[in-house]
Formats: sequence, structure tokens, C-alpha cells
Amino acid sequence: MRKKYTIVKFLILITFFLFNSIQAQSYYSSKEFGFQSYFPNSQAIGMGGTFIAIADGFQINTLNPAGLVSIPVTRLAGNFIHEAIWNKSKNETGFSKYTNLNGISLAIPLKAGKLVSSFSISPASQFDYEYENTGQIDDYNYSKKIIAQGGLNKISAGIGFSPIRRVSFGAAFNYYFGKLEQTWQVDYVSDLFWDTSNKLTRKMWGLNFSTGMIVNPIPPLFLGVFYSSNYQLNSQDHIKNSTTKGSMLYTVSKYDYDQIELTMPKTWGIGLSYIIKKKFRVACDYITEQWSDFRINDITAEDYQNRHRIGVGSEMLPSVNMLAKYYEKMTYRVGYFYQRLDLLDINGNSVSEYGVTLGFGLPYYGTLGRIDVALKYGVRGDLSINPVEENTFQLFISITGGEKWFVRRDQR
Amino acid sequence: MKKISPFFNLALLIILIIGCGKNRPLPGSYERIIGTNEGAIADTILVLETGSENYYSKLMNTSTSSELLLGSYEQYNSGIFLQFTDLPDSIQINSAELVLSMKSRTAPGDADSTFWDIQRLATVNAFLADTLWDENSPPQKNFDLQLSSFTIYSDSTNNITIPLDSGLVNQWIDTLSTIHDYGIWLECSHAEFIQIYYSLDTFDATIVPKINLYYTIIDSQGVAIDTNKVVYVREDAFVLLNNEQDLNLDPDLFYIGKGLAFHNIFKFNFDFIDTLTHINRAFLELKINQSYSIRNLAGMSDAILYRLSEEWIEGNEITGSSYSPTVSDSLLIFDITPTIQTIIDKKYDNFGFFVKSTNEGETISRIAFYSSKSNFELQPKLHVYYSLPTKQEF
Repeated sequence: MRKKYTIVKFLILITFFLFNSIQAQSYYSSKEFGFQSYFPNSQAIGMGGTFIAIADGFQINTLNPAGLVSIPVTRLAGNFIHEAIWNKSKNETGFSKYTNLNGISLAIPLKAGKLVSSFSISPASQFDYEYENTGQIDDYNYSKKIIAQGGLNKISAGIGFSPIRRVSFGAAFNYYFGKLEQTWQVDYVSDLFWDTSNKLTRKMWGLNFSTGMIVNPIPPLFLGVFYSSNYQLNSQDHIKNSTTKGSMLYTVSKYDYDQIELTMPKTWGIGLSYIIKKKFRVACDYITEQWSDFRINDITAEDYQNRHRIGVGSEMLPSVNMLAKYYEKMTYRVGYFYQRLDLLDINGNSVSEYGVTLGFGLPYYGTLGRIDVALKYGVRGDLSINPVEENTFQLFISITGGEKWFVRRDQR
Repeated sequence: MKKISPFFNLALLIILIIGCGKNRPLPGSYERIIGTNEGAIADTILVLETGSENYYSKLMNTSTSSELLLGSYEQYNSGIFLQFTDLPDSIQINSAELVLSMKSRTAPGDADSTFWDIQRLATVNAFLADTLWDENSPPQKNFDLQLSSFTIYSDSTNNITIPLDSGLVNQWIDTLSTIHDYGIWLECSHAEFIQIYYSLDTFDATIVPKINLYYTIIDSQGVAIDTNKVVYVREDAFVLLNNEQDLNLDPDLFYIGKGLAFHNIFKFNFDFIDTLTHINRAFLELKINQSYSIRNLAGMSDAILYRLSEEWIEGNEITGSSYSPTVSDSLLIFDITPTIQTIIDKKYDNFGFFVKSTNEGETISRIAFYSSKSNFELQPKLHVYYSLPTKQEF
């Protein structure tokens, strides 16, 4: 009976993910490339988004692939996100939610503790909103809408290796691709009118590499650094402007813009983690994206600023005692983050975000699998300087499984 | 797995509680993204430059009409031309009669039910035609060739039978005679009404125009036998005996008509509208002047509007999209949204619009419209609702 309930609950969750993945509605996702995410792993998010110097056997670290070396067995991880946003302007409030798969990653140790490869697909930015404005002309009611959806995804193939003890390196190739669709439309209530639809479809693709290093100068201390190169993102815009009435469609214009080359900024970050008495881990990361270098067809674009992010976090590590109670085998996390976003608001002011995180690691099947849950509460924007302030609540779930595949033990 | 269950339940609860909230987009976000000027919704009313309409009038070749009109309606005066086939040429006609089947009748003021209460008369003169069928030069009255003079009555509802001069008919059918077989021409002067007869186009032998010929034959025993032959019409037409000048039309109006057709061309200026503009609705409104229209505005919805696809030359075949109107009181409204869109986005050049009656040779009618010379309330107006383009960029 218990099993039946679990299946029912699981089905409810899956159904929710399948049918609720609409409109993040973050006002700030309407700018530039949408809202960007660095790393979807719930363990890292639970610790304030720190991951650069974390060497953890459950974390498939595709941003700093040097961390892959710690993975002892083949791991497959699926990440999910549920997000609720309460946004407000000076006079109004709004609410939106979003649920979706947030990436899948696979790590395969080729030589335990020495050489681990990884593959992943994850969202790099998200572009998803729908806003409406209603009006009336000569007693005819209409609504104007701006609808956008899509995003940039990243496929990574990386490798982590440890040539010498206490030092690991990593490198990854990342292929970015995605489609963004923005539709501006005018819908009249009266069927005497033709409705307007202007649709911009942007396809983007590009390739870059990232590299990283983690050193462990003394047993409890880990220092990490990663660098993700600037790269060329090719962008091809297709325009289709049309009017529709019932089943009739009239294409006003349809054309492609010339392909443009976007020089995307490099990203780098440094971090440290420290393990206290094998019981606690504290970590701190700093990441920056050099958006001031962002260029369009080799011309420096204005209205961008460098993105800076700092995160601090701590986790209480699980007991390694096989006889410990389950809650003692769990991991408990807490964190804080602050970031200045790369986008500017409509008045040219900077937009900042800060928040706190909580997290849990729930082991299953002994030490082979773990479910990480992270709760993140953040405040994006500040009504005293920005037009919109958003309070975000996000729930992240990462389910990581493990299985020993073709592991070659080091023979000494 | 049992240990995970409470956390799983908690996560599910959080998702369900927060996730089932209804999306309420933040008001004002549209303006923050698009701005208040971009993508504006607007409307405008376009009028013609004063006196810029061109029109042509044309008497129609009415040989394909389903109606034959005989009589007068205001300044319109209509005659009938009939040609017959298979006329026997070796018999001696004793008598002959022309039979026309009544379809309906019309007269100015006939909407008043008392109009027909008073019996009115008209004299029909039938002649042998002195010329072949030509819409531009109808046969002339030649009393040497008069077949009949006959009275018709406004209250007739049955067939009318017009006796024909048998002597003249014998000359007509005699191929050795100097009289040509051009046909019969009927005209009616000073009638206060028009009688409408069925034409050849009905394809019904019982009602198409015909001539009954009565003659005598001598059989092989030398006995005289009276017999008859029916000769059916081969071609028929009603022909208006007017031209535009006869009608004393108000030059400050424009017209569409049947019988005497009017072809009107007018052109609006769209230069001020951005080529990327989306046209949400465009309709042309023509206001009718009832006092210069005839036949009680019958056939108002028979008006048709074309988008001209080239500079108009009268006589050319009309190409381009066509639109039929909806009628509202004394307004004809043509919904021409798609065609205005094609002109705005330069898919087609703006050669203007052409308006006329459909089936111009079918009968007679005339609808008068206020033109650009009238005051703003009355003149032709093109209402355009449109949405201005937004900047298409993220």
C-alpha cells in the first residue's frame, strides 16, 4: 500500500512538471538573453551557489570540471526546478510560477580518483514571459501582448583528471544552442478585425571551452578556480509579421536578418572550501562575467555591465558511521548569495539580487544515491531604484544515482 | 527509501501549495518592455481629394439579360430587339402574332401600393428592324416597316399577344423580298411604367418570346388546311434609348447602374502610413443619395468593388481582388482589410479602386452616392484601424 502511495505521489509530481512549465514571468528575464543560471545542482544551490572548490562525490561539476575527479562511481543526475515569483512595482503586484526539468548530467570515472569524464545538458538562460496591455479604440476592445519563450541550452563534454596528488584539473567543451521566440500581438475581441502578430525567432549557437583547477594544499582546505572563455555566439533572426482572422492568415512580411556574431563574455571564478573536523564544510565563491566585453559584430555593446556574484555556504556533512541514524546520514546546508546582474533596468540602473538558501542531502541505497533538495529565497531588484522588485522562492531537486561501471583500480 | 518519504512529502506539499497559485502578471510590465509609443493602436479616416473620382458611363450590350424591358422609368426609355430563326419562306401567312410572357413590372413610385390601382396605358410600336443588332446604334423607327401598334396595360399580368401586319410579315419571310431579316424592334413611347418580359436566357420554350404564324396549306387532294408554326426567338435584348446626358445626373454625385452602367475609379493616398503597419480593419463606406437613385435602391448589394491591379483604361478587363458590400440603411460598407494591407506593405501598387454594379446588363437600375464634393459626413470614407510596428529585438 505504501508503495502505491509513493507511485501516486510521484505521478502527481511528474504531472505537475509536465503541465506547469509555463511562464516564469520574471520581468528581468525579458532583458538581453533572459535570466541566466550558472549551475543547476541542488547541493551547490543549497550552499549559496558555491561549487568552485567543492570536491564532492555526488556533484557532477560541469562548470569547474576539476571537481569531477572526486566522483567514485558512474553517476547520472537529473535536476528539477520549481519557482514562484512575487513581483511588485510601486503600485501593483503580480505572481507567477514555473516548473521544469533543469538539466541532466552523467559522469563516468575512467580511472577512479584520476580520470573522470562527464556529459551534461542544462539550461544556460531562460526566456519565458507573457505580458498584456488592454485598451479600447472606438468602442472596440483589444489586448496587446508580448510573449516570449525559449532559452539557451548548454551541452558540455568534460573531463577531470588528477596528475598529481591533491591537484586536479578539468576541461570541458560547451556547445550552446537555443531558440528564442518573441511574439508581439494585438488581439481584438470583435471578429470584424484582423489580429496582429509579429514574431521574431532567434536561433543561436556557439562553442566555448572551460577549464578549472582544484588544489588541496592541506587536507581540509580546497582552493578552486575556473575559467570559461569568451566565445562567438552566432545568432540568426527570422521575422514573420502577419495578420490573422479566424483561420485566415496573411503574411505581411517574412524575412531573415543577416546572421550576426555575438562575442559572449568570458566567465571566471575563484572559490575555497574548508572542512572542519570532518563534520562541516564551509565554502565561498566569487564569479564574474565580463559583460563590458560583450560585442555585437565586433562592436562593443552599450547598456551592459559586468556581472559579479558572491556566495557563501556551509553544510553539515553526513555521518560515515554505518550504524548512524538516517537523519545523521543526511546533509544539511545553508547559504547566502549576492549578485549584481549584467542587465540594466529601463532607467539604466543596476539590478542586484540577494538571498538565502537551505538544503538537504538525502542518501538512498546506502551511499550510492542521493537526493538533494535546495530552497532558495531571493530578492531581485530594489523598488527604491528599480521599477520592479521580485521576491523569488525556488525549489530545486537533484536526484543523483550511482553505479559502478568499468572502473580500473589504480594498481600500486 | 522509507526515510526519504517525509522529505518527499514536504517537497510535494510545497510544490502543490505554491505551484497551484494562479499566475497574475505584474501590471505595467508590458509597457516596461515595449514602451508606450511602440506598437501603438491607431485609426484614421481617409477621404478622397475633392473631385478626384473618375467615372465612365456605358450602355450595356444586354443580349444576355434574363429580362426584357419595355417602357419608361423616369428618364430611362427601353426598347426590345428580337431576332428569330427558322422563318419559313415558302408559305403564305394568313396572320401572325408576337407573344411575350410577362415577368413583372416596375415604375417610379411603385413602392406606393396605390400606384397600380390606376390602370395606365402605353402604346407599343413594333417595326421590322432596319439594321443589324448593334448596341451603339439601335434600330430607328421606320413606319414603312411598322408591324403593329398595340396598347399595353399597366395591370396586365398574363402574356401579351401583339398582332402583326401579315402582309409585311410575308415580305419579311420571303427571301426574295428586299426587306432584310434583321429582326423585330419594339419601342414604347410616353409610358409611365416598364413591363418586364422573360427572355431567351430563361431557356423555357413556354415563356421565351415567339411568333405564332398562321397559314393555309393545300393537301394532295386539294383540300385547304389551316395550320400554324411557332418561331422562337434566336437572340433578344433590351436596349436603352438614353445616354448619360438624357438623365440629368447631378455631377456632384457618382453612380453605379445597370442598363446604363457607370464605372468609377477613385484613389486614396496611403503614403503617410508606414509600410510595416499592420492593418487590423479597413472598410470603405459609401453613402447613398436616395433621391438620385432609381428603382427604390433595388440591387444595392449588387455593387462590387475591385482593387485595380493596373492603371484603368475603360474597356479593359478588370483584374484584382473584388469585394461585395454589406448594406446598412443608406450605407454600403466594403470590408477591404486584406487589400489595404497589400497596398500598405507594397505587395501591390496603389492604382485605386473601381466600383460598379454586378451584372450590368441584367436590367436597369441606378444607385447614386455622395462624392468627394459632398461634406465630410456624406462623402466616401475609408476607415482604417492599424497597429504600428514595434522594434523587433530582444
